[in-house]
Amino acid sequence: MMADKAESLKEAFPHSARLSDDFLEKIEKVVGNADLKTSEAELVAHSRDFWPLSQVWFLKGKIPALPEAVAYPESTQEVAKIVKLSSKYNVPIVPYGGGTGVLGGAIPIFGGLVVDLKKMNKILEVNDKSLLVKVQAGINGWRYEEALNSLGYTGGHIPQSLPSSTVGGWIACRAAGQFSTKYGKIEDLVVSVEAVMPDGEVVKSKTVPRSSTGPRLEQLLLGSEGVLGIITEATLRIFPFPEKRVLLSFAFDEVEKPLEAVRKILRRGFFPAVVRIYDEAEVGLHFRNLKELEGKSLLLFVLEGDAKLTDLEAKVVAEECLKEEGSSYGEEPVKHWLKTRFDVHLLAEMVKAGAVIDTIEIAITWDKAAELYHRTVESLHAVDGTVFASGHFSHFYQDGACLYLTFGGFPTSPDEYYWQAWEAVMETTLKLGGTISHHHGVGLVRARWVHKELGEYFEVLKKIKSAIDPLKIFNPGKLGWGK
Amino acid sequence: MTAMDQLLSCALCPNICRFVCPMEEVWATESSSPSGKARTALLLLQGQIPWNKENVKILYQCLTCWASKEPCPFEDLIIGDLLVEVRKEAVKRGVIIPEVAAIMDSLRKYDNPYGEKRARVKAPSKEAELVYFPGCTAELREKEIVSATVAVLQKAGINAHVLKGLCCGWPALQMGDEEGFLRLAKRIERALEACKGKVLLVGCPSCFEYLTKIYPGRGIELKVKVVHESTFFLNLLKDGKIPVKIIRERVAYHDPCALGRKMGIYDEPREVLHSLGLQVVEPEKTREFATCCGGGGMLEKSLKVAQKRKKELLSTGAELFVTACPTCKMMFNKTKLEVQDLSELLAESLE
Repeated sequence: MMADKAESLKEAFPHSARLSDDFLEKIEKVVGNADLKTSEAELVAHSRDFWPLSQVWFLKGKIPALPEAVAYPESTQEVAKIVKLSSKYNVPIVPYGGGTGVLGGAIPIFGGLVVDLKKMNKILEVNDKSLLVKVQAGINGWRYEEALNSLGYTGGHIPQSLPSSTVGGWIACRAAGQFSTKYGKIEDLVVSVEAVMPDGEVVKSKTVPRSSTGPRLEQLLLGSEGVLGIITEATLRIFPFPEKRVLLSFAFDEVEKPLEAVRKILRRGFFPAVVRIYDEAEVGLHFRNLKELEGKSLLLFVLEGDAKLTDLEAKVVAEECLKEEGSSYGEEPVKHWLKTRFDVHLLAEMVKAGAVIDTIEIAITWDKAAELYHRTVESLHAVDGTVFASGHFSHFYQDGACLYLTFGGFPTSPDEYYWQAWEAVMETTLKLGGTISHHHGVGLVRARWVHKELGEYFEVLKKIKSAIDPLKIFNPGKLGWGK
Repeated sequence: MTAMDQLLSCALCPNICRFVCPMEEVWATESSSPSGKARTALLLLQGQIPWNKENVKILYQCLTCWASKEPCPFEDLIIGDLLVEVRKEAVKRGVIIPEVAAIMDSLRKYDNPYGEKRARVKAPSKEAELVYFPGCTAELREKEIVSATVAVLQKAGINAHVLKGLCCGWPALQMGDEEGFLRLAKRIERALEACKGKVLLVGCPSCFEYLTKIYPGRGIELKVKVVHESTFFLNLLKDGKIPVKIIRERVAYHDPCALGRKMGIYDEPREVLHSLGLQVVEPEKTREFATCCGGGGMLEKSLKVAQKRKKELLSTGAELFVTACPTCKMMFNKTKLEVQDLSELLAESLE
């Protein structure tokens, strides 16, 4: 049932030995009989994340890789015991949250033990005065946000995966949410982290607004994708539930104009929660019900927060958009986006129809933002087999923006086409000096380009990995330097 | 789309409805997530994983509560209904997990899922204009509902025959026993023909769904008009057939999944409560978004789901809790939350 590629990778590593009964018995003693699973159904459920190429494989009856067992710990102490045993028995260990990563990061390509954090799903403490919440890592994102909402807060982190991903997954993948231009990305929201390191020791950082006591080492875990440890708890910043929300949209003739408008809004010190610039092709796809927008580039805003600030922000936003010759289209396109923003059915339908489809998010400074858009879309169109390639800008900073590309086609050789398309975007981005990932992470897919992205830091990270996880049992095969 | 096609869509989805799935929340496993269940079902059907009890167990970690209907991005895809179809294959192959076997066995022996002998079906002594069918749960577990309903009917001066000793077949089909379901459905059909009533009053929303939607879907056309108690009581109140005392209290209403999401009846029970002068307060999750009471599965961990809904109901600060389903009432009673059926509240407020 294993895909050939994973099988050959597995052979190349010593960890692929079957888990011994002795090891499983000891794990069972830690988590209890009910929380150690070896049924085919459970293993298959952990054979995947939401990597689109693996969906294509699944359709052909291939399962990329299977773990040999799944453990569901209920406490940090249990996680620590599992890690110590895995280390003693040299067993690969893959942490698992909601399985919504899109780059194969959670696929257990060397088999071994998956440690699923879903039973560690509690909100432990809400600190109203300091606006902080302490949670266990396995809590589902939607349930987390919903619980905060009913207490009068928002977590401010709303990724498209919210209905299915976990807080621990957000941290491990260095995630960004749709409302992040105002509230920040996960690294801005996480104040402290508790994790189990590969030697089984529990580390815990202090919950303080900031400190200058050497490097903040928990930052190393943000984006570590399970190769440096298992995140078990975190304290995050929260915000009062917004008093007011304003929805605005503007249409432009070309993508340069809205980019300029957004750059100037941020330059003036206003950071709207949601800012999205769709190119003509994506307007045609996602907003085809709004005929008057045909052939335009669309800029959407959700402004929210304190009522007075939001009103002022709305004025500034309109002012800058009109200066760039935008025409106002009111709330309708934003309402449509709000309603459909978690809808991923098109992807499944396309895959079923035989398409290879994927998204790539990259980022660059303002001076090259428009160029990055044009050149990457062109590079995708230049790949034989591309039927569509489009982009939208989805997260913004004073110094730049994130570009989110979507591409696909109906190639005769899916794998070949897939890697050519990725290669085109990765190389174009690297040449322009952009980053090859803004918020999806590395997983399996980007591993081959990471050394180019990181330069000398790549070797440093390899050394850190060797020092922290000398047996290389933590999510092996991921991140490029995670072997 | 065929069922296989729908299962595939669900298996390819990153679990966009995971957060509403009560079974996923209480099991807290990846295999119990909606997409995890779809994937298991698909691989079983494709012969990629074996039909053993451990794998088949996953098919039953679903309450068929339809909570995924709202967030599901695929048109007309109800994962619970798809899983019921796959359970049938498991039953056909004889891969039956113990708790399912117990229910099927009870249905075979006693025509009810509770393992209890009950009185034989009686034909009406005289022709009645209305037949009242309480269903297994009210008849065997929540008997107060039956007496309350009868009291209301008497007050309204309606000559009714109470049809006991029969099951609509819902528990059989839920377990994947199509044959057992058809046997029970045929008994209902015959008994109703013998009654000659024109209207059939049901208190159980699952009976209501089955008699009005599932039976016709399998070619069983009953010759009676089937009405749920919520609509029936509302009409009695509107027509002034039952004088009632006004109760000035705050009541929280729990939407039964089968009555709300499956049959689209949300307003009638609330209107009944308004007619009694009650102030209806809504739990945070209500109507289409109401959390299941856990009773839909009759299986392991159901009680945990009920406990979760209990918390949601308590947080309304209401003084009274009401539903329109014997199974919901039974589940909440197991959590020590006193919940009344609409019929009981109505009977209490009769003048």
